[in-house]
Amino acid sequence: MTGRTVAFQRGFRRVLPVVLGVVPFGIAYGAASAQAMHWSQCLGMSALVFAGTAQFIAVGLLSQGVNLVSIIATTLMVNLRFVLLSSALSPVLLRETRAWQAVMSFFVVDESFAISTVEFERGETSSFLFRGTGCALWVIWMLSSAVGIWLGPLIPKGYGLEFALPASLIGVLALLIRTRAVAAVGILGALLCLAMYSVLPGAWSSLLAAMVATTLGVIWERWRCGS
Amino acid sequence: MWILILGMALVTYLLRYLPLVCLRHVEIPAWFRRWLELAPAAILAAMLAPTVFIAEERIDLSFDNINVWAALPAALIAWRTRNIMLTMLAGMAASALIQQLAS
Repeated sequence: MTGRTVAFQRGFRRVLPVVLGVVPFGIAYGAASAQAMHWSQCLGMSALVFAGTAQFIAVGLLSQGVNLVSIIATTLMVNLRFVLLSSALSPVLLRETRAWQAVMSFFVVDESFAISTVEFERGETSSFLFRGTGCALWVIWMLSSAVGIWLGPLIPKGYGLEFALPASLIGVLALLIRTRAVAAVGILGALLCLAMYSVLPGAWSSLLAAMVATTLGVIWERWRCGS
Repeated sequence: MWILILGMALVTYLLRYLPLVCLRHVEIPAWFRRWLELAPAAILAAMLAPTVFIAEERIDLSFDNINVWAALPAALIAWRTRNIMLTMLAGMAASALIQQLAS
């Protein structure tokens, strides 16, 4: 076995600890999305977009009947953080050939970023480790989405199914809120959105509220630090 | 629907790939870094707020708006357990229970 294969397999194994976080997320997405789309579209979104939070939000907007452009704009906003992850991973990814850079950047997600950053800090040298984690996460994401799509319709009507999606979004939000600053910006975003709701239609009030809240959060932090 | 999926896929892919092409020699300013970190929670919260608090085009905190009262236990479970499945189950159970009580 070559060193590359070994590194790839190591990448696969390093994913195991985060499986517990990814699988319920995937199942929840599958179950929620099956209410709004054909099963092939639910799976297709997992395969091609490969970004849990954005997929969840898209399904939520879809079931509210929000238009295509607003959903894509929201996706852009939610996934802007990938710019950060990709640029932080660039020392690793740029070791690949140009063609492989284009392929492997697709596999940049929070988990593959976290795992490979830790491994490279520990002295990992092969970019095949990232290939391994990325591919393993994609496979797990697809499988757990499929399980959710299969399980979702088995839940009988009248068991609070219409609240499954908002509830799962509350769960995702709890995962994102790790510091007080994030919580404050979230609360501000929610309040601003409610204040603007009657003036701006649907998703645009959420989008604008989030941008204003985030900007105010950054300004406030800068001002408080006196820089 | 597929156009939406392809659009989302394209936008998301470009956000992952373009930094490798464009940002090779450019440092992302610290304030923008922070902005990118804070943004996802803000957009998610701003998206949830109307779903939970608005019924029939206006803010409704009365008992008639089931979502508010289903969101409370869901938020509590989410905060304590950080588990999406448990949060979903709590929210669904609360929603179903309230509907039963109301009818």
